[in-house]
Amino acid sequence: MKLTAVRLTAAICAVTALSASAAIKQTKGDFEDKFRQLDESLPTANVYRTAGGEPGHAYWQQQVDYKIKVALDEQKRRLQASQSIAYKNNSPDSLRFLWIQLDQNKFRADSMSAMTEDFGGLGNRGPGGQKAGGSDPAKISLAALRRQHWIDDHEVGYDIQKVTDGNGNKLHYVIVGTLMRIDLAEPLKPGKSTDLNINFAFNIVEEDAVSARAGYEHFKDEGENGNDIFLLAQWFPRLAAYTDYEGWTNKEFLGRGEFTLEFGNYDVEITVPADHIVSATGALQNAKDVLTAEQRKRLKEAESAKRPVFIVTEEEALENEKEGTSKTKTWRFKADKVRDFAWASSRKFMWDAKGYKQGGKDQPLVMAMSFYPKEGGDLWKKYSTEAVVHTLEVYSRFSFDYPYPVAQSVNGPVGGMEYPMITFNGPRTELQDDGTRTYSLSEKRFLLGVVIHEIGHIYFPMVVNSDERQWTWMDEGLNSFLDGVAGREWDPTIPWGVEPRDITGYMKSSSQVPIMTQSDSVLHLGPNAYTKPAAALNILRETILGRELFDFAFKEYANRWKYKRPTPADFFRTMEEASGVDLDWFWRGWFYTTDHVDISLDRVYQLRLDTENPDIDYPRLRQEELDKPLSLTDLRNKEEGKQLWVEKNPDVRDFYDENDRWTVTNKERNKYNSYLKGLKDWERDALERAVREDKNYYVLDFSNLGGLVMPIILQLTFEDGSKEEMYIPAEIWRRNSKNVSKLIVTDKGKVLQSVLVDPHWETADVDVENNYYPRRIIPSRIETYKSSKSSSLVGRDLMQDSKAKLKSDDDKKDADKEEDKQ
Amino acid sequence: MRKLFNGLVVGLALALSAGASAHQLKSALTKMLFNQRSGNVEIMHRFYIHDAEHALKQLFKTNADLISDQDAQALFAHYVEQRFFISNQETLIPLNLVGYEIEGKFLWVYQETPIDEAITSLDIRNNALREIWTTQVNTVNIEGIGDIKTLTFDGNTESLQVTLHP
Ligand SMILES: [Zn+2]
Repeated sequence: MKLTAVRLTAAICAVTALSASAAIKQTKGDFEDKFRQLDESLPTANVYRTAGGEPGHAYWQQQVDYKIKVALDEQKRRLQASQSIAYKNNSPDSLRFLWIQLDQNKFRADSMSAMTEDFGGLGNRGPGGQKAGGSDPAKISLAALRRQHWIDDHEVGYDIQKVTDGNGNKLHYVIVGTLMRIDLAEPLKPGKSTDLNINFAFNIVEEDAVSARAGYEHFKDEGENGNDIFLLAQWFPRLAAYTDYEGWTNKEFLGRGEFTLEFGNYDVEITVPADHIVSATGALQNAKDVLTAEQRKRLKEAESAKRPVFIVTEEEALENEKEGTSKTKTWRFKADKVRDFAWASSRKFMWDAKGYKQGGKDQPLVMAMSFYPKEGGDLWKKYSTEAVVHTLEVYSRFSFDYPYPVAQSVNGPVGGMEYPMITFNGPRTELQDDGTRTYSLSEKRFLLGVVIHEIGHIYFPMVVNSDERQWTWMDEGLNSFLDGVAGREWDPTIPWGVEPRDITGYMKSSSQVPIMTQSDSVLHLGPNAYTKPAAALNILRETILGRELFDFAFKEYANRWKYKRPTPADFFRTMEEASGVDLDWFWRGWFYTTDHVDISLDRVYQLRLDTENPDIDYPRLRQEELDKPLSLTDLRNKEEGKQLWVEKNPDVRDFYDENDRWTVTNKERNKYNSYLKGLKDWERDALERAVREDKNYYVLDFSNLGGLVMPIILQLTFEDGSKEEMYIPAEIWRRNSKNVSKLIVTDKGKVLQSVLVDPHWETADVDVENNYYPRRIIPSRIETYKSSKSSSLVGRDLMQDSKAKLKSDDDKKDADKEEDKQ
Repeated sequence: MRKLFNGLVVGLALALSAGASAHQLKSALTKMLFNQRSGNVEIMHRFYIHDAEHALKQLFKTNADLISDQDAQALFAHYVEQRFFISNQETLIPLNLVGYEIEGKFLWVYQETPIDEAITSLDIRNNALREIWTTQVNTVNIEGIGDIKTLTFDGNTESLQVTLHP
């Protein structure tokens, strides 16, 4: 008896486990419901997050305030700091310990990040590889070696010197990789606060050697006196986030998945060499102590200037560069409602600023500012601060007024990275032999692109605080979409943003992973977290929802989650709820699967209405018969000149020789009349009207080869030369996601000549050839290239040509003049 | 010697695979199309212009403006020729450099070779830009022979094999 009961329990457990993994399942046939609602995949709504994607009535998040005193030791390139943290527990839970992020520990040789580096990368090394080519494959590892050498020669990671509570009592702590657990003396009850003090130090990594999101850059050029630019981020022990959806977000920092952070207020005192200029998250509190009267006057002027005003001019920066100092100054910054704090310091910095008067009650004046060395040159003088202002204008339209007093762009060794109120951007000018500094068109585009992108991040994820450790796409995807919008409003001739066509190569590849993959596990981060979600949002805006619905819903999302922590479900639900359009199929296809778009138009055929009227239908049938090709036997008999029996005997004729089988008699007419009589009035009206209008009926057969259901956009070309476009919503695929047919009715004179699917390339369809009916040969890129360039390439000697000396800018100007004359 | 060196790197391997940048996308996409119409294997490499320009800077110490400078484009195409190889049974298959062109934010480089029906598998190497940036990822889509096959060259991957007639 007892045994049976035990077995029963086990059986129930097994069933429960199974149902958790796949609640709804097609267990017969192969129907796939691509429109199945996402409810089973999304987390259950609760008091913290509603089913509509809003913060719930009991939404909470922790509050973590920091007071930090930090000193930069320029000689040792080392930070020494003490910080006090006020941690307010707004959760309904009691906390017995706190988790702290120690990101600098990632650089240690024994970190999980280092230990789990897979030598083979994504693929396996195939046979014969080493002999396959003539190049030197060892080169691939040189950058890795440089990094290794640097790590060998420097002590990296945190030196945690003291951990106490607010009263100075030592707290027990355990360091686990890039994390530290601090055990509290007593559980921290809901609604209560506790204070922590941590003293720490670490050696700053060399960015170019280690490739991090911050670090120093050393300038060795003549006259530099060994100057550095210091970019500091992930520089202080930060509280790991404690959330309603994951508890402690204490996932090891592996480098790819970025940061999950709490909002708080910061008060930071930064002590640096007296000739350094400091840019930081927050508003400068003691300008009188660190800036000259002249500099403060310029800063005031900048507030209402049309173009950026130099607070520190190039000449002053060059003067600072010449020699260092052993004196120090302390810069004090305060920042409210931010999720992080970063800063930059160098004596090489010039500094320009321009006020952005956005109005509104939150932050009517924002100071857009840039900090850069002479290497930034005109590129930075002309465009950095202006690009900051432009970004604020566009992003605010899509979300909310920029909520902070400053927005800064700082040049240094980091290619591009974002923090609250401050961004690091890499592009620079090149020093030419004649001493001038120039930049290429591509570098200009890159500077504009990177500044817009990184400043855009101050909205996503610095204010709309998504979980970067889990979901890179939530900030990078949304931000890449918006930086494309902002870029196109700067100058549409620059190839900005993400066109659907740019992502087809990735989406059809077999190494694609779903967008909804945790950041550290994504195989191709660029296309997966940036390009594909950005393309998806672009398609959602321009093709599926339209701008009005999309922009309203997107703005709603931004405002709902301003200063809060959204998850993917909150984004999906808000976009759907605010637009009023079911988008579950879209999220499912684009974000949860690796399907791609490939809709093929397989066949178009014409239908004809049976009028039932013999005087109309019979002649049509006769014509159809006549339109058929002649029997080959008859044809060849004719060619041979064979005389037929009926031709040889014309005197033998009867009724059937004069009347073919489509001859209409009164018998058929009587039948038609009684048919008409048998119809109800509305049936007769419908038939008569259809006969009178004599429209064309076409059936278009489509197949979905890529798997991703999408709207079918058609361009219909008619024999009279006119064109029409037609939009069939994606829902056409709901009962059959593989094959669908669409009936198209056109007016009598509108005879269909050809059909094209997705004429504007707006759906990311990977195969254009099967979009044409009748089929058209689509030449490959190489075929197109050859046909357009065939003449110019004949006789070119690439080997020799590539040795040609590169012309300088001046040469080019001269050459242009020559061309103008011709 | 080579083997020894590889062993050394394995022992030390520490490389940070994640990019430092939240913006730059160090990636290139190659479409390798078995084009039955032309009878050629057509290889179409797509690079970001900005990546290519910086590569030229590092490799050849030029400050060329790649968008306007045809010679610099040629130089880069020639560089790609020295980094992309296909071979069969350890025999290198010569590729003809068809040309290159700028389109939008991309620089395209084109190579081709006649389809050889006798060959059933290829070893492919795509080292372009990878000696400059450890984070460079080169993806190769092989198309025109049934389902698309994708090869990814990143980290320390040297050579990948693809079977042509399954
Ligand atoms: Zn980004």
